[in-house]
Amino acid sequence: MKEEHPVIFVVDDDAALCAALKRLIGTVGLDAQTFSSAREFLGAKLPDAPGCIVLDVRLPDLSGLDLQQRLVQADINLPIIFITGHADIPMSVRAMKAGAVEFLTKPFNDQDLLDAIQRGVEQHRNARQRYAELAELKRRYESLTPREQEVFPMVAGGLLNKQIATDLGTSEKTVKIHRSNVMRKMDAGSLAQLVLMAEKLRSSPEKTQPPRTKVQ
Amino acid sequence: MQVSQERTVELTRINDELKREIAQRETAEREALALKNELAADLKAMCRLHELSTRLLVTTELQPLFEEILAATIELQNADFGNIQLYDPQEQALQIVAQRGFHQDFLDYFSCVEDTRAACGRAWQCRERVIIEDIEVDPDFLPHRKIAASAGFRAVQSTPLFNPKGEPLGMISTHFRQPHRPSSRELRLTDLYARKAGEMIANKRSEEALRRSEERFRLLVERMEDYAIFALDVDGSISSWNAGAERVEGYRSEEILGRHFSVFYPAESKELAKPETALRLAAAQGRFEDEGWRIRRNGSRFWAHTVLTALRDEQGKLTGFAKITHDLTQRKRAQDAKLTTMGEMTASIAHEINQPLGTIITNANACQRMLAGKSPNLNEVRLALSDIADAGTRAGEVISRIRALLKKQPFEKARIDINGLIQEVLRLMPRELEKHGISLETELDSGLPPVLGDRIQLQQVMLNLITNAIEAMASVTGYPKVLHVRSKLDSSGSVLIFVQDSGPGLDTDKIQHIFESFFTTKRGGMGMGLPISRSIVEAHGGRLWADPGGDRGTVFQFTLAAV
Repeated sequence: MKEEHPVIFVVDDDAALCAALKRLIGTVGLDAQTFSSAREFLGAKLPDAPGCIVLDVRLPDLSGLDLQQRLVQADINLPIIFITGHADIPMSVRAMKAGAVEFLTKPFNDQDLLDAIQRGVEQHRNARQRYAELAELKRRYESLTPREQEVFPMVAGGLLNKQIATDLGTSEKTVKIHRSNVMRKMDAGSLAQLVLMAEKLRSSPEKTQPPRTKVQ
Repeated sequence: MQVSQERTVELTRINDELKREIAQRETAEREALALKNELAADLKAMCRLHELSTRLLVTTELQPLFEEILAATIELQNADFGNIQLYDPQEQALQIVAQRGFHQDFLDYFSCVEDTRAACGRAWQCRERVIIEDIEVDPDFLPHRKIAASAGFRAVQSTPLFNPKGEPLGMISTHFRQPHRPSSRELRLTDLYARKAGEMIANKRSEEALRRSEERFRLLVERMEDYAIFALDVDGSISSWNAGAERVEGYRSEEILGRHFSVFYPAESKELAKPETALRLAAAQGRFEDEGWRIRRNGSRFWAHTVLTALRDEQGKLTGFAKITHDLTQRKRAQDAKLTTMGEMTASIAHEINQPLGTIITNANACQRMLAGKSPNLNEVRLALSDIADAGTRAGEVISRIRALLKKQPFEKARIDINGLIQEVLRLMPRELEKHGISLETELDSGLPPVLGDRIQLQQVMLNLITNAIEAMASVTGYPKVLHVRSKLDSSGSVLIFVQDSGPGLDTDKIQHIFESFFTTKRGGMGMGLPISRSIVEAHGGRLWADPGGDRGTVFQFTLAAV
């Protein structure tokens, strides 16, 4: 994967704090972009890089928690670190349950924040990698012919060529050719790998999933 | 020859006599006819008046009334024009409310008469009818001659209208093109009409006032949402319900009417027969006051203050009860709300300070990290430090703002000049004292030290004692009603305040009970005031007690610690 420089997004209506945070984040070699409102952030074009959001819970237009919802809906999976001037336990529980990385109250310990940012960036990096892998798998899957797409789950399901041939109403020889095409196009080094790929594709939320077969 | 001459003289004489007789008879017949006509006209006028009265009984509007009376009067007097005016107390002038035959100029000119030289003005001033037979001749009418001329009248009469109490309400005037004086018969009948008109106007007005007052009361009862106000039959079944009752008790009127009011009481109160006792005491004493738990429709409990009043008809027979239940949880909730607001305020203050603090700390940490690095960006450090300074200043401003805010809040305990406070409360009283014929005697010692306390609460105590005193003397007859207020320093150095009345006083065995919350006397009870006043005084470190006053009445005394 290409080495991408992480970008941290800071959303807080206190401009002085934004500047201070940018400065602090800079001391560990990370870039930060600051926004004074949720709308400003949502309206911005986000760079394709790992990162996370440092977000104040109480923003003038949209609450931080609502922004979190919006991001989830928009499939933006940037990890969120909440900061707040109010020590509100129910709010923090809600935030964490909704998948926030951390919930810090101002004035916070700078190390705590930087640690949280690192965790967030790591989390995002991993997510991006998984996403990229999945995208690749999908691309490969799309390159299969319809027949190959039928054969794929059956092979991954552990069926013998003979069985597959019977089910599909074709010859074993044909099945062997399909099988080898699938392995090649999916770039699977072994059956085990193909099984893993099938699993990954199946558990993806997108519609292009391999269909379940009656064998399973 | 002589005989025929004598005969001629005789015949002539007889002829003349006959002529005279015939003439007399004709005159008598004419007079009889005139009288008959007069009586017929009278009868007609009386019938018209009667018909008018009957018709007017069903009218709900005043305007048709005016039109009818005016028309009848004009016809009666054979007038050419006429108008009715009513006195407007706000404008302090007579205003034309009905007229016939006048054009707009005249109406504008006379629409609001303050002038006392016109006929109506004069009549109003003297409270008597005024007739101006010829305006050209009447010296006082001079300024109005031009307008009268353009309107076309030469004579006018104005008769005042009175209500049954004899208070003047307005004027009815008739105008004539030619100089004219209405006959005494016409005036007599006009007076009848005027009296009738006055009656009808007064009736309609009091009907209207009553209707408005009833409507206001109905709205008041409807809208008092914190108070359940409803009526009970003699046996305690609920016979009326209001919006507040629905809110407080939770029942809608259709589901509660007819049911017994003991449904609001919790089981343990019902066991003790509290509802029945309340009715009994209310019937016996006129009023029963209590505090206790009540149950709402949904089963939830609330602490309530209730007043049960017995309702009686003119014969004194018990017809039912009126009940007012006040949900005291509101008061408690308000107190809680006050605390919550304080909590919120504190949180808000904390937040206001945390903002700049956060900036300071973050920047300081950033500086430390930057300086710990290999080649620190000193410019960035400088900028960070500048930001720190700014944030510090901001924090300082927040603190000054909060300090200023706190200064505006009234302190709970303040130094109070008790005489000043007493006089402040007494200044609210003059009308009330006058109304009851109570004379006020004050002896406020001028050298009193200030006391430490809550101004509003102490005012409440004074007001309570004074109103009790006034109430106590309300039914006194035969001797002077005196309210006596004194302040002095007692032997222990505390400030002592007396409030004494010259009412019937209280029995010695009852006197201590008046500070209990549900004691009531036949006079209507002293309500919750005394127990509350006592707790206020005690919260201030003082004592409140009552004794029989010298000859008569009761004297209340309370002490406050001097500063």
